Amino acid sequence: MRSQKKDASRSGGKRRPRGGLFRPLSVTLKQAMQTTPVLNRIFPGGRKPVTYLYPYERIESYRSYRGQHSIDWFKCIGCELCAKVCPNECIYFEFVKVEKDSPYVLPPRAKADVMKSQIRRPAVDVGHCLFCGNCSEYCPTDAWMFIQDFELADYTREDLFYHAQELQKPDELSDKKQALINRQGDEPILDVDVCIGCFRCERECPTTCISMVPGPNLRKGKPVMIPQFNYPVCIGCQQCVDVCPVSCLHMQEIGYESMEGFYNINFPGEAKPLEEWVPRKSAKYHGE
Amino acid sequence: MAGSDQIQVQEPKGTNVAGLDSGRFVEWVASSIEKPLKRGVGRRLIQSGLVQNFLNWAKRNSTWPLHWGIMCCAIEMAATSDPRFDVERLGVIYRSSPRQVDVLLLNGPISVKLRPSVRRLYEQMPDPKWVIAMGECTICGGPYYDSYAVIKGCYTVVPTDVFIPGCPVRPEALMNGFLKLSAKIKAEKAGFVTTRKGRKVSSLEGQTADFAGKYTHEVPEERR
Repeated sequence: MRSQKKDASRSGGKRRPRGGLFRPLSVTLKQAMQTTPVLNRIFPGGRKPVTYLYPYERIESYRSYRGQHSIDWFKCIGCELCAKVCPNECIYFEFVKVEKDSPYVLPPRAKADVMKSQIRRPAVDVGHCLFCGNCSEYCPTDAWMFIQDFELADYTREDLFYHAQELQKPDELSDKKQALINRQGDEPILDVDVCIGCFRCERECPTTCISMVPGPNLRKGKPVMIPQFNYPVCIGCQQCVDVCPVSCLHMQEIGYESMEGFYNINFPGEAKPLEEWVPRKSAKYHGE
Repeated sequence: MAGSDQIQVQEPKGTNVAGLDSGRFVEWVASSIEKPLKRGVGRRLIQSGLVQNFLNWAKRNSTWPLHWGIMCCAIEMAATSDPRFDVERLGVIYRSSPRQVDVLLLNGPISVKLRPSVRRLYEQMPDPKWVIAMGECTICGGPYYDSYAVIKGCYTVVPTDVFIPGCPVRPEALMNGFLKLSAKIKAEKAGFVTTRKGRKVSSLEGQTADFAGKYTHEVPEERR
């Protein structure tokens, strides 16, 4: 009790640290000595300065960072699935005119005369983009990529609308290998009695999974042609549903008996059939 | 029910440091400081290249933004001023009063209720002043582009100089936006700046949009 009273009387009711003003300052001085470029070699515990000088030096950002969009025109098939899944509706499809023998032209689409010399590729309003990555996640051919360029600031609103050519990935960087994967899980289903057999879905399909076959119904004594779907090839892009003039198609999830046609997509560019990844024990269990 | 004619408006009697009324102070500044500088030798000196270049250098190296957070981009605005991305290297110091500020940094969706105060803050800032739109919500409404309560871009309210897309904007991207603004101020003499695509636009004014009340949800006069 006595000692406490003594202390209180000396410092006027407050406890003061030793060293007075220099004690709290010493932390600042120590930090300054440790991080100054020349002194940090001499001073114990020296390290690099915390600040990094942005315009002159740059941090290498992660490969998963989503900056500017870049689209591989060899892989893109113009299925417009990215525009459908975009939450902000900021992806627009542009029709680009190319030569007839161009590698970008898709053979199934080229059945129609109009499509022989023009392709459709995505354009983005970057000022409206959420950078959520849905477009690259749902892309059935892995054509969508994001590069690590974040310096997108501009002086006018109009300059933030990027055309299809401005977002094209350089041809040298693409491996030109396509793998079609259905990530939606939905497939088109036909209502046979409504179908008029106009062949539009066959022309529109970007993967040639539709083949026209004679159906059960008759018109003027001839059978009406109806589309038959090759479901393992289908990517669920809904283009046939959108283009149908009588709306006889709808999307629905279908169960499968076998795992044929499903792919494991853990590694980009290395799509393997799912059967290889299923362990044998579980297969046996399902068999029993 | 006294007649409204009898109400007398009191004149402001507050005095400032110089011992003058606030109304007379402006006159005093105009007569004793501005007039002699705009006449004869002083005018020639101010309009000469050396002084103009010095003023331009001072302007573009001290773009002080308003410390005003609307939504989540304000977190990145705070991160920009931390020791890692020390933005005060570029002369960007956050200030809390619009009277001490050169740049109105808008970060977030501007609702219809906030719109008048954005305009008021812009009017309160002294000249010269600029506006930076940070993030997609400020540029065009962003994910709230369908909402009845959010306006479609800050450039419908205030003239905007730099648009920084991103959700949210990276601290380096914000610093890049401030560097682009200083490049725009530097090009005031030339009169134009080149955009990222190589297009030439005016460097003396920001961009304004007029949707004629179509997207800004003006209340019609009948209902007021």
